[in-house]
Amino acid sequence: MAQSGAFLRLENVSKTFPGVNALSGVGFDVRRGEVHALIGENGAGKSTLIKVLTGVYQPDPGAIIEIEGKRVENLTALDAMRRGIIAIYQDFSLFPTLTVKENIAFSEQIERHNHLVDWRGMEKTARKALESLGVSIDLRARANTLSTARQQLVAIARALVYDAKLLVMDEPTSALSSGEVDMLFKIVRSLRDRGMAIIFISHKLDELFSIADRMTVLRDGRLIGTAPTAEMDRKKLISMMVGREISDERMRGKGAGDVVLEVKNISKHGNYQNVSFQLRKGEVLGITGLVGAGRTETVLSLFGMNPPDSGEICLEGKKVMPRSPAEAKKLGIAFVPESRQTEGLVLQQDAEGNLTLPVLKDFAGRSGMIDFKKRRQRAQELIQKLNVRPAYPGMQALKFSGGNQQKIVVAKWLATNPKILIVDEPTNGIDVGAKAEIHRLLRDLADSGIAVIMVSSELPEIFSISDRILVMRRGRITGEFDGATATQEMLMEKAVLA
Amino acid sequence: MSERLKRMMGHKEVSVGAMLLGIMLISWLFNPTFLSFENLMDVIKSNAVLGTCAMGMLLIIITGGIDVSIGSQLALVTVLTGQIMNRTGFDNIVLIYLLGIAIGGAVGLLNGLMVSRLGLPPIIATLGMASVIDGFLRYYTNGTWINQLPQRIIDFGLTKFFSFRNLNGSEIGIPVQFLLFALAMLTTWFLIKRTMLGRSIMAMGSNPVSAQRIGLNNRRLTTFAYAFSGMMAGFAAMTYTSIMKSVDPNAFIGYEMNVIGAVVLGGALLTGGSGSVLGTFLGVMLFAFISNGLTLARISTYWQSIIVGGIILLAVSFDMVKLRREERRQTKVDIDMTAQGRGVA
Repeated sequence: MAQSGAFLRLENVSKTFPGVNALSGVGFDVRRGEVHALIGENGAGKSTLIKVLTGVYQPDPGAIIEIEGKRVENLTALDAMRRGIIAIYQDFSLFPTLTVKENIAFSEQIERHNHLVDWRGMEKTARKALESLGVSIDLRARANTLSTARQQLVAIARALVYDAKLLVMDEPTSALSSGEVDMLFKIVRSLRDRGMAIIFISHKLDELFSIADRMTVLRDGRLIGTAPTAEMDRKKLISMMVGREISDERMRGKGAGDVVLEVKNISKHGNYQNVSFQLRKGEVLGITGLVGAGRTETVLSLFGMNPPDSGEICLEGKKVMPRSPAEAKKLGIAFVPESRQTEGLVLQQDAEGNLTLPVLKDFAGRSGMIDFKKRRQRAQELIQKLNVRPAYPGMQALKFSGGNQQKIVVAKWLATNPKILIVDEPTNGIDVGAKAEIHRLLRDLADSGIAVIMVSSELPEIFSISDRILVMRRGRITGEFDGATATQEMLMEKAVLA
Repeated sequence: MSERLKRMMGHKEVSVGAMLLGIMLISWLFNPTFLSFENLMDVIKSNAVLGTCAMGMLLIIITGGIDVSIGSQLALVTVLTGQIMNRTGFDNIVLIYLLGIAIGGAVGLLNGLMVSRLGLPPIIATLGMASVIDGFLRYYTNGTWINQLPQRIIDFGLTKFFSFRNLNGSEIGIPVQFLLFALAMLTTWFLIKRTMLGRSIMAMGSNPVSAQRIGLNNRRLTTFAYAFSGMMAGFAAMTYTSIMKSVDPNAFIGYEMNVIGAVVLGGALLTGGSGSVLGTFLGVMLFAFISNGLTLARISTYWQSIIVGGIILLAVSFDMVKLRREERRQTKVDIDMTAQGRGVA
């Protein structure tokens, strides 16, 4: 560690969005010559914090931002960049059709206010930046022809040209092989040793312990604590990450019935490996794990959208292998996707149209014409059953609140009389009151005999209605727990370490 | 070295050039006069208008936009300048060229403002513009030709450089239109390759969000591209008048397809951020030689339109298939990498 002293200091940073406190009163500092890990579950406030310190968001009044000991007001994105605060996002923000040379050195040309392009100067700058990283990449190659790892190196080199003093890396290892991760870490350490401050965001705790000098944990928009890595261990870190209060009581079902679905050892290359589990009538099976653990990929394969390479799926004792959503629907499997707006609803259509879409054939007479009276009737039944508000079948789907939209999506699939209902992050972006209602609804559906699979990153949600809980990590099932006795620590340990 | 070779083969210009050579060879086999200096110069002269317009269109396509009012712009400029020359006898070549460029530039600027300021989709903005201009011209000209043009403009159009007489006694040389086309190419090449303005437009077309992030003014860049294309269209319109020695208000119906087709044949992606002057030149020549070859082979113009359209569709589909395959390969690599990571950890 070459130099010490804080490069950037934040105090009392809050950021409120309508209805959400994304950050409340966070204090945080990054020193020259340190790798500072920023840790927290999804939605803990990491990305909001990054956007504040790169000037993309303005914090609520009362916040203090100090750069190199001087207080800064109204930090804008361009300001932050000129002061050497550079973020490398997961998509790298490169110019895909331009050369490596231009990607690295173009911004320098702009800052100089040149009228003509100084190609030689760009080449020199780009070469120097890559050399100081100790890598060689063909300067004339187009960025979109490079591997992910090399694109990332180009993004880092570009940050050097900006004279970066604080480099923010958002999940930099998520698309790298282990060899590439080693190389990246070598580069990160050498940048640190040259006095650069680095904020490193990752879900992979083992990596954080090997690269970070200090760690800061956020949870629900609050600062939980900052500590040197040497004083931390995995147990402590996990307890800091999860310590969330679980106020909701756990809703218990009437008990599970016969096995409806049995998944035996299914694998899909690069998605999930050797996944096996059973699903019983009348139970809610919660599947949790970090983003990217392969949960959605696994349940999509049951719905025919991501068929496994190997393994067996048995539905009520019969071997099946749905190859398309239409086949899955025929088998009695329903799927409510995470992004209900883009994948679950036809937003411009009215509630009635959405509700009856999967079963439109039922209303068609011999001539193929739709019996609208019958359709309206069915829509009203569903609206009543799920308590969709307002109860207007003729209202456009996009005008309903998030919670009621979700009810419409669930109702739409109920119309098909499924045996199995799969829901992916069912309360994502839904306010607290509606959340409880959705949970109640899912629980009731299970009690009425439908087998429910719920994928969720939110542990309180998992606990609130699951009879059994599966934890996935890196494409494998790493733990199975009884919903009544599991604790957050038990789940988190399996999710990040196992 | 192999890396260099691979990079070269990856360039669009190489495959377009190879296709061009193939077409030339076939045409020559069908009709040996095809490769005569006279015929080659003729082809270039009669496609100088197309080529000049293609240079402007190239810049628009680099931004990820499109301009379907190019044909109407040409018609407008030829009619207005033709009227002026016809009525007043005004015959200063330089000034009349500048006037044409100014009219085209003004229309292009309007297009650019509609796209960048009002946020209209380029195809809608320029389609509307085309409709307005076409309606105006029909009202104003009633479809009548302008035939009486000053002698100086006619002489100018017939100018040839380095000319000599061949055995049959006809004059052979480099037509002035060839030089005008070369000037348009050189200007565009300089803009795209050497100026920050051109590079910034290229960067914006490649990734608008990143361009904004590094402080580029996307609106201004977009506006400029459309205005530049309009100026090129104005320039091309004057060249057209110099070739035809008359003005036909209906000469450019459907012309935008030829221009866009030539640029796309030349390897520019409609998604923006790529394309070059060399590639576009080769695309124009490819377009020209296919038409010329078909004419020499005495295939009817109806069939020519069908064949040329088919070739454009093929070329674009080929690009799209290649792009999709590349994308698929890339995601596969990414997934493989993560899988490896999993295995070790």
